[in-house]
Amino acid sequence: MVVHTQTPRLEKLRRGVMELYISDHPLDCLTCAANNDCELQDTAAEVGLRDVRYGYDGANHLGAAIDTSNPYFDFDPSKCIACSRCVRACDEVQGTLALTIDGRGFASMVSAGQTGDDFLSSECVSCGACVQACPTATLQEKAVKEIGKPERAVVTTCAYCGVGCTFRAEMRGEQLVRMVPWKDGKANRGHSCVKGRFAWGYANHRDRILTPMIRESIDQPWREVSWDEALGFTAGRLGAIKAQHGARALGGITSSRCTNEETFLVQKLVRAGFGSNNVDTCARVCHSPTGYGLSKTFGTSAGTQDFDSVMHADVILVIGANPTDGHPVFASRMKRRLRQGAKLIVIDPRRIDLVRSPHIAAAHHLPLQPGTNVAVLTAMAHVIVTEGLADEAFIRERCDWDEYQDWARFVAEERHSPETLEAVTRVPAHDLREAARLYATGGNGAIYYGLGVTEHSQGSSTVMAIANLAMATGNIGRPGVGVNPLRGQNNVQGACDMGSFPHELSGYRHISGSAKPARCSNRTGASRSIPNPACASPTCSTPRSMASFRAIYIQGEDILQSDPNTHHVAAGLKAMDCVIVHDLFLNETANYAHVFLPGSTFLEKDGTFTNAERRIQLVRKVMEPANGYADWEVTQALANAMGLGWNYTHPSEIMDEIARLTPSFAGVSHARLEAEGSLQWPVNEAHPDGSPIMHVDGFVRGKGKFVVTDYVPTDEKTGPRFPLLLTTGRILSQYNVGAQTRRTANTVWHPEDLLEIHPPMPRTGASRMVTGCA
Amino acid sequence: MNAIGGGTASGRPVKAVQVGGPLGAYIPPSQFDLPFDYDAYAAADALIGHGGIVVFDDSADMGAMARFAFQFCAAESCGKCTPCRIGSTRGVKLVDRIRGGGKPRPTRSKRCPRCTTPARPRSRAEDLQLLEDLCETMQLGSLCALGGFTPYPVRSALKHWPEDFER
Repeated sequence: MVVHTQTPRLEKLRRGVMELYISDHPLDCLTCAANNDCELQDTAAEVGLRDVRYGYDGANHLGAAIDTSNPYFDFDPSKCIACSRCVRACDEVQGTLALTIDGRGFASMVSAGQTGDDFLSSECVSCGACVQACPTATLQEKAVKEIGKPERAVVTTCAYCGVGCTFRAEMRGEQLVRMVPWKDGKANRGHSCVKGRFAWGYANHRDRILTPMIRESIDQPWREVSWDEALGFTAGRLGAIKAQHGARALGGITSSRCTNEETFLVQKLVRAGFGSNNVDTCARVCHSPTGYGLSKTFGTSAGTQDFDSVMHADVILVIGANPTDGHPVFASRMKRRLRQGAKLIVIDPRRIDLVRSPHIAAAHHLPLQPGTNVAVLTAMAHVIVTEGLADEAFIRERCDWDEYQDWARFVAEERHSPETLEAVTRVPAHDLREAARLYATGGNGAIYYGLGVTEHSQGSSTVMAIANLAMATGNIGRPGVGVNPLRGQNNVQGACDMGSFPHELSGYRHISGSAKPARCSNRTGASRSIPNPACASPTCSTPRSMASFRAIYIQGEDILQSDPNTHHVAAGLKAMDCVIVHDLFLNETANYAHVFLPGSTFLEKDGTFTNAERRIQLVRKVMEPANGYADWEVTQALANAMGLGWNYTHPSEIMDEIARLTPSFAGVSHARLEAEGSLQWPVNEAHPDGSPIMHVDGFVRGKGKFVVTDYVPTDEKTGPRFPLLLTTGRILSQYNVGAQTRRTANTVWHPEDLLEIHPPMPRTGASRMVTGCA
Repeated sequence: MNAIGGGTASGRPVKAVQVGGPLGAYIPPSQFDLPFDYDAYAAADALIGHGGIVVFDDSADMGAMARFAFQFCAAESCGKCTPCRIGSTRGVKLVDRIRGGGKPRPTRSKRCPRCTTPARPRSRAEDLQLLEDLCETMQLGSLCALGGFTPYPVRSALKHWPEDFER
């Protein structure tokens, strides 16, 4: 068969349809925001439309009111050609199904939600998919209307969550006009959420500090100084403290929002410059249980799958994660798979959106009592083992059989049955049994988890309990299965990979290990004379050990807000002689700082981020740093002020050093990333093109290790002094402590944090549960 | 028509029959010998449709009936495809214009030089050509039979009773 797409008849037909379109379209092309960026305009030109013979005095939509309710884009029905692309984008890509065509015939019109709704009051989550799909200026970014058509674009990686969406930063001169999701991005596949797509205004917010500031003590006002003076002051103080109190009095905290290269430099500065291993990162309070738990059971401190894997899953188990709010772009893909028929199990105290939303319904929702993750997972393991649902062939081949048998005996004990544990977990035993059977027998089973697992006591045990379940059912080592942590921040995986823990160098090499000590001490300067690494994060320090710190360098993290027990953190900071805050904004931690070094945004630097699927992607500078220097340059300048003599001229040189030192990064370079778009570590001789899915032929550690996970009740119990059980959750429009998103129009959706209280909360008796945002 | 049906209700002579529903072609008495089968009707640019027959006496205004076809299509259109959604509404207006003698259009100040040339009055011949072009666009470009069949009554009315379009 021969298909002809261009014939005189077709050309005439196309022109005829275009003539009808234009007979109901405003002829304001020259003043339209989409001028020269309009498919309708292009097509009219292509088909050779020269005349609209119907005239323009017929029925039309030209008087329709513009909906300006969304802070980032307008909806102008007069320009709508009712093509339904926006509706389909909302349905099929985003999966929110907020848009529809209202009315019919000539009155057909795109509408958000119910009649009377505008975009803001509708179910719309402002992901921007409709704006991107719109062929005209009907759905148009306000920024394009205000600034004009972009003239160039730079592909870069989003600096919000751990999904790691890549975007085209579309520029007009030095001004960012809009962020458009990059269709070739392997993490996001052309999709975006409200944060990455629209909430970048913080980069130019008036609150940004652009000049270094110092003060002798925290009760004095800040004094703006030159970079030289600030760095000289800092180096002098650090030197004096080191001389007086020793190297162990100095520490640093790397930032999960900064690049791999910047993070690497901060930990290198601490080890080589400060002379201690007192380095830590935010993962200490979020996903370090993931690192520990998966390293112990599988051999690698990261998730096992790529995001594409979810499209092959038959049963999806979500535990302690709220993907539609926390990882919305990945959630859209998960929802697409669920609409295709995959089954869903949600283990969460809250009825998160995934439990029931348009065309999505969880097969099982296990609303557990907070703090009982291990009990629930062990009960599931009990069902799988005692009902003979374990994949014995897989276990014999891939795991340590003796350890499995120990574990199987343990979970099979009656005290771990769903019926017995129901008293603790409050999950109906029947539901739990059904969920366990579904996961074990429903085909490819994939587990996705978040901070509801790791930000708890017994976090590491829970991660290992998850790994046990996956191994016991053979759900490891191929597409559609696996154990997948949904990492919180854009580069929290990378920050961990780069050696941001006291006991680990880049690539999770233990500092006391035998792995090439010469390389370590030469290149990173890790001081091997320190036998017991301390921990820099105030969270894991007792007030006593915190008091031994005299100086701390904190890059891109507001520990006073984000770490638990604010009073404890404040006391620790207050006791220090030199707190260096390196950040975009004068954050809460800066109240206790002596030095403030202005930071740069992700738009102002080169480097790489590593997302939750171990995908290393380039961050490209799209504008000059407003503060003068990218963060890696500031860290280097501080190192040099301390006499370290660093001379990196570009972050690619730092990555080259990381690759030389880190086996799992051996094949990574900016040149390769430039050529190939992204790489998933490990990238080395064994995996020259990276590793989308891990543990394919065998576990990295050799045999998969079953670990006995005994449930230990949390000591965080309600009582007269603390009558409420609180837990944290995610908010779609806000991110982390809000340093960025609170400085954008996203506040329209979530102006302030609220405690949500379960309506039928009993006044007496059982503990009450309240949730808020983190 | 006369033998079985007993002629028109008014007793006046038959002017046309519409076969197959509101979107069937109008057939003049000169073609009443047409065999009632699919192929013969298709060959005569008509259709059997649901098989119903509506008889019009000589008081029928076939220009108005062409207009009604567009109006019916506009009323029933779901709006999904452009030829039907916009075309049916434009068709009503266009028949009016043809029957009204081709009034010059009012000009609009804002127009895009890339898209259109300035408006000018249309001749009757030009408007009849536009009507044919619209019928072709709707017939070939519509997604379903509503827009796709609307040209049947329009074209047949214009073909057999062109005088009803002159007023």
